[in-house]
Amino acid sequence: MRPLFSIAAALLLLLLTAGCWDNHELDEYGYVQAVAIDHGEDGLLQLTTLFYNPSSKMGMGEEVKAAQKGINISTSGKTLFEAIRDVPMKFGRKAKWDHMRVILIGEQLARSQNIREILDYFSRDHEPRGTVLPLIAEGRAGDYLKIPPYIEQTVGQQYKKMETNGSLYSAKTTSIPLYELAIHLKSPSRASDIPFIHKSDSGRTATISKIAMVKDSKLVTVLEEKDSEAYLMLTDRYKSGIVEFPCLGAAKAEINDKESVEVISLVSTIVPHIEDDEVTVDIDVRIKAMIGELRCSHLKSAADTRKFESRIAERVEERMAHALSQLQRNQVDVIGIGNRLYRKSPKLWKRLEPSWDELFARSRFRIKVQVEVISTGMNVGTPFGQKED
Amino acid sequence: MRKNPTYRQATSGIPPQPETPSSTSHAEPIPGLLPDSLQRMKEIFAGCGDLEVTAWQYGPKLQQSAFSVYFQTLARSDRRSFLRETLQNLVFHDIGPATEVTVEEVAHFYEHRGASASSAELLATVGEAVRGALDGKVVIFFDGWNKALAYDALHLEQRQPSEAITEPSVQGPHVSTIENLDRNVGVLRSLLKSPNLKFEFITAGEQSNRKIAYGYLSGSVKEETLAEFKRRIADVGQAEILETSYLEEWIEDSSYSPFPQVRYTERPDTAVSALLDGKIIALVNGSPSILICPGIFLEFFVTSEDYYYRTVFSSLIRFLRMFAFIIALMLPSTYIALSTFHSELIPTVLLLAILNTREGIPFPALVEALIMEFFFELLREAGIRLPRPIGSAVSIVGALVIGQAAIQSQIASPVMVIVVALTGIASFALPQYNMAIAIRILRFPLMLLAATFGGLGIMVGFLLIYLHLSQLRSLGQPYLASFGPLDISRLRDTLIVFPRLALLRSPRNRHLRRGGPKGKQRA
Repeated sequence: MRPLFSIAAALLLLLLTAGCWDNHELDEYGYVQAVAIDHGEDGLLQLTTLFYNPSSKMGMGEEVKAAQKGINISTSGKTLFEAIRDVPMKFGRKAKWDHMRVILIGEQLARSQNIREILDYFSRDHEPRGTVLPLIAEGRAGDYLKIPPYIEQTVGQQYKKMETNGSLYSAKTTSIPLYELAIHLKSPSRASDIPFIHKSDSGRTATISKIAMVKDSKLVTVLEEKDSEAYLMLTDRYKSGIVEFPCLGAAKAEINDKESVEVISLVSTIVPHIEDDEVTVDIDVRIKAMIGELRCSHLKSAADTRKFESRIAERVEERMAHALSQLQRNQVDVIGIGNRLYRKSPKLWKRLEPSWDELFARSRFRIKVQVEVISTGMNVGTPFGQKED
Repeated sequence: MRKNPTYRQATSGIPPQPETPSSTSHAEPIPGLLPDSLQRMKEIFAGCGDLEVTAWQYGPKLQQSAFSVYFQTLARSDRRSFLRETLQNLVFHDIGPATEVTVEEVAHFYEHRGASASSAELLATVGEAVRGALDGKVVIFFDGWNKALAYDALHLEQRQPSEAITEPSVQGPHVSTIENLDRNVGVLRSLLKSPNLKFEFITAGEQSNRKIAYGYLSGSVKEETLAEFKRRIADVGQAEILETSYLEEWIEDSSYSPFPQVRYTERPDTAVSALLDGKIIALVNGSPSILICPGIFLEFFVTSEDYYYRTVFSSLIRFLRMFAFIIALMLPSTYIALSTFHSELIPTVLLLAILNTREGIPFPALVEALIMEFFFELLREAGIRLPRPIGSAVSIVGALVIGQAAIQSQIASPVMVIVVALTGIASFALPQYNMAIAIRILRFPLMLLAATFGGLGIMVGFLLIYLHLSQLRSLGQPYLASFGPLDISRLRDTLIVFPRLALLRSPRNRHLRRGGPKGKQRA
C-alpha cells in the first residue's frame, strides 16, 4: 500500500504544480478577427483590433444585429506589442490572436514605413498563424473594420473570403499569406505583391481588387484591375477568370462590342536571357479557354476559330505589355526575373544586383501568347438566337 | 491479483458457523431405528415450517412402520404418495410369498436395483437425506433399515425462455437461457452435438449448495488455459455463489482493473460460438447468464449477430463500435482540452459558434462537463432501477432538466449537452455492458487530466490506459491479443469480418484443419 500511496501523492503534487498554468476558459479571451494598423499621432502606431462579440441566442427572441458581432478596440504605441498589451486596459479581456483572419495595413503607413517591421510581431509571436492574410488598405485601415459584414459572422472573415474567393474566381487580385510574403520579401528581387482593399465612394462597402506592389518592404504602386489580371497571368498564378476582348472590326460607338472567354487553364513560363548587361525576357503563355459570351463572332470553321483565338491572344499580349510597362516604370521586379537570374548564376547576380533596378526598367520582353478555345459551351459557335448555318 | 480464500469467505457475508446441525452430520449414517431417525430429522429441520413429516404403517397387517420427509413447497403434490408407489413397485416382482411385505424385502429390492416405474435413490447418510429433502425429493425412512429411499418430486415454476432481454437481435435465434442450469446445458448440448463438448459440475457453498457447471470443447480449447481455469476454479466450492458474476473474481487476473476480463451472454448461439472459439463457459443454477472466458479486448466489440449479416456491413459496424468506444472514452476530455488549452485547434467558424453558446456560462468547462455527466449518470441509474411505467417519467424529466432548463438558465452550454449526450449514446453502442462500464469509469480521470494538462494530459492518460491494457492478461492470455502480440491470421475477424469461407481457415476452426491437439496425436 505504501508505494501506491506515494505514487498517488506524487501524481497529485504533479497535477497541482505542473498543471493548469495555461488553462484558460474560452470566455476569458477576446478573439481577434482582424487587425488594422495605421499611422497614429506623434509617430505612434495606431492599432484597431476587431474582436468577435459572442452573443448567446438563448432566451433572447430578437435576432442580434450583425454589426454588434464585432467590437473595435483602438490602442496605440511605439511598437505593436506595446499597443497589443494595452488592449486589456480598454477591453477587459486578453486578445487571442489564433483566429485572426486578416491584417490591414493603412496605405499611408505602408508607403512611409517598412512593412517588415510592422509584420514582425505577427510572425514572431506564437499565436497568430502564418496563413493570416495581409492587405493594404486605401486610406485609413481602421475604418474598414467598421463596415458591417453581409453574411459572415465578422467582417474579418468576410475580407478573408473576399480575398481568397475573389482571387480564385475573378483573378483581379492576389491572395498571399503572411509566411509567403516573408519569403517574397527576402528573395533577391526584394519585391512582393499584397492584395489591395478599397472603399466604394459611399464608404459603406469595401472591395478587394487591385494589387499593391511592394519593393524593399515599402508600397510603391497599386496595379489597376486589368493590369492585375495580366500580372497574375505573367507570374503563372492565374487560376481562373474571364478575359474580355473586342469584337473584330466593331464600331467604337457600339456598347456591346466585347466578348468574353473563361480561362480554364493558363501556363506561363518566363525565361530571362542576359547579353552584355542587356536583359531580354521570353514570356510564353498558353491559355485554354471556353467561350463565355458571343456577341459578334461566328465560329463555323477551323479558320474562324483560329482567327478568334488570335484575337484573344493579341488582346492578352497587349494587356501584359501594359502591365509590364507599369512595373518597369516603377522599377519593381515582382515577377521575379531577378530571382531567376540569381538561381541561374548567383555570381552573375552579385554583379548585376546594384544596378538591377535600371536593368529591369530597360529590359525587353518578348511575349508570345497561344490561346486554344476548347469548347463553345452548351451552344454552338454562334451568338444566342442567331441562325446556326 | 488473487485474493486468498479466507479473506473472500469473510466478505461473502456468511460467517462460518461451526456447530449447526445440518453442517456437521454429513457423514453420519442413518440410524436403523425409526424413532431415532425421526428424532434426527426433527432436530435438523427444526423451525422449517414447510417440512412435512408423515408416519406410515404398511404390510398386510400394518405392522411395519415408516415415515416420509419432504418440503411441501418443493415436492409436486401428485408425487407425494410415494410410499404406496414404493410398495407397488414390489408387487410385480416375485420376491417370495407376497403375503408379507417386510422391511427386508423392501431393502433387498432396492439394494439390488430392482426395476421400478419411477427411479428411487438409496441414501446412506443423514447428510444425503437432508440434501435430498432440500433438493425437493421425498425421503422415506423405514424401521429397521439403515438406508432411506428418495424420490425425485421437485416441482418449481420457472420462467419460459423468452427473447434475450439484454441482447435482442434482429436476425438469428431469439431464444435466451433461463434460470435453470440443467435446461441451459441441455440447450447448449442440443446445439453442439459433439462428444467433445464437456461439462463439469461443482456444488458451491455450504448453505446454498449451488450447482455450477463449466463447459468447453475439448480440442478447441487451449490446454494451458483450461488447466489454469481449473486451478483457479478449484476452491470456488467453499463460497456461496449466488450469480454467475460471482465466479468472475475467481477467474479474472486483475480484480482492480476497470476492464472486464470475462464476458456474459444470455444467448445460447453466442455461447456455442464462444465454445467453438476455444472459450470456456460457466453457468450457475438460478441465473440465466453464461460467463465466457478468457475475454479478449477485441471480443467486447463483437456480437454473434455480426456473423449473420453480410461481411461488408459487419465490418462497418465493427468500425462504428470502435469509433463509439473512442468517443465514449475521450469526447468530453477532448472538448475540455480543446476549449481550455487549445482553442487555436478549433476551426474558426466552429469556435465562433461555440463562443456564442459558451458566453455567460458561470462554470469552467471541466465543472460544466462534470455537472452534466453527473446529471446523465444520475438519470441512467434512476432509469435502470425504476419500474417501467415510472421510467418514462424519468426520461421526460431528464430531457427537460438537462436538455432545456439547464441551457435556458445558462448553467450548461448546448455544445456541452451535445458532447455529453453523444458520449452517452456512444457508450450504449457497445454490445457488452461491462466494457461500457469500464469506459464510464475511465472517462472521469481523463477529464481531470485534460483540465490540468490539456492535450498532453489526454495523451498521458491514454498512454497509461494503453500500458495497462497491454500488460493485462486474461486467464494467462494477452488481453490485446491479435493486435499485441500481432497475429495477422487472426486479424481477419477483428475490426474487419472476413467472409465465412475465409474464416473457415481462421483459428476458430483450428480443430477442423488439424484435428486439434488430439488430431495431432493420432497422426
